[in-house]
Amino acid sequence: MALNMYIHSSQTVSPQGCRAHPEAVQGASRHLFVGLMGTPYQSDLTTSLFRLVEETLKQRHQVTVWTCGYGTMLTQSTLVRPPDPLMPDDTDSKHWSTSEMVQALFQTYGERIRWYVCRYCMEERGAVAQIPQVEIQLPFSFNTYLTLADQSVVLGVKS
Amino acid sequence: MSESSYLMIETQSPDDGPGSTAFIGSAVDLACAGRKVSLWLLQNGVLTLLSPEYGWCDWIAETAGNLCVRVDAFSLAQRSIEHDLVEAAGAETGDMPELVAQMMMPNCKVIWH
Repeated sequence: MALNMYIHSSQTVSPQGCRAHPEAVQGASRHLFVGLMGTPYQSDLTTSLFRLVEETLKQRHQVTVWTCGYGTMLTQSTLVRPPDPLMPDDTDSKHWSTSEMVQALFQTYGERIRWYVCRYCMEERGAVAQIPQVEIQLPFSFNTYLTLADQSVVLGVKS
Repeated sequence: MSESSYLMIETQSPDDGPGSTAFIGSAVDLACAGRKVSLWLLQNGVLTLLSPEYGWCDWIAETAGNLCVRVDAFSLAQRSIEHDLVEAAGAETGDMPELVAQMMMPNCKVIWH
């Protein structure tokens, strides 16, 4: 599933291009924990999440994503994005759902990504139909995965 | 062990509430106290460039080189904000590869707001 161009839209619009520190990119693989707490559709948070996760994987690090609150709805297997009638009906013009984008990350980066979904948040919101790639965990295990990582960042506040 | 640096990421605009001003103020205070701070403006955080009460040039000068302000080029493009504003503020544009590279450096403390 060729989703890179969608997740990587920053590459096409940025006038500056890639200015990452080469020594950091080529350094040892590290492990990033990303906690998604904020409501993803309230701002550009979903875009930032996918940009951050995919770029970290591209730089050959490991990523663990933990979603709480409404973030658990990003990986529902029932998500549907209707086709855009103004766009041609081909693969490159398809509007991917967030669950399809997560699946594409698993397909591209395999064992270097883990995606955990908080069971309580998921059940409270009725988002119980999840794609098979994600793992549903009790909230008590949050700290376990957090401490396994070398670096952590928490996006947003749960609402 | 080398000294820690701070990577602070502001995603909210002044219109989102007082948190933006407080967060940027914390970054400036840390830099004034001698800490190395890299402040990234992402998402609506780039809108602080349009707000006249943010004295970026003065703050950067006050911190004696300890505060580095980066503005996400993708967020600028999404909001049709000219890059001239970034230069006028004494900041530089950056993109996600650079942000991730900084984030994954050892001894980097990341705070996302």
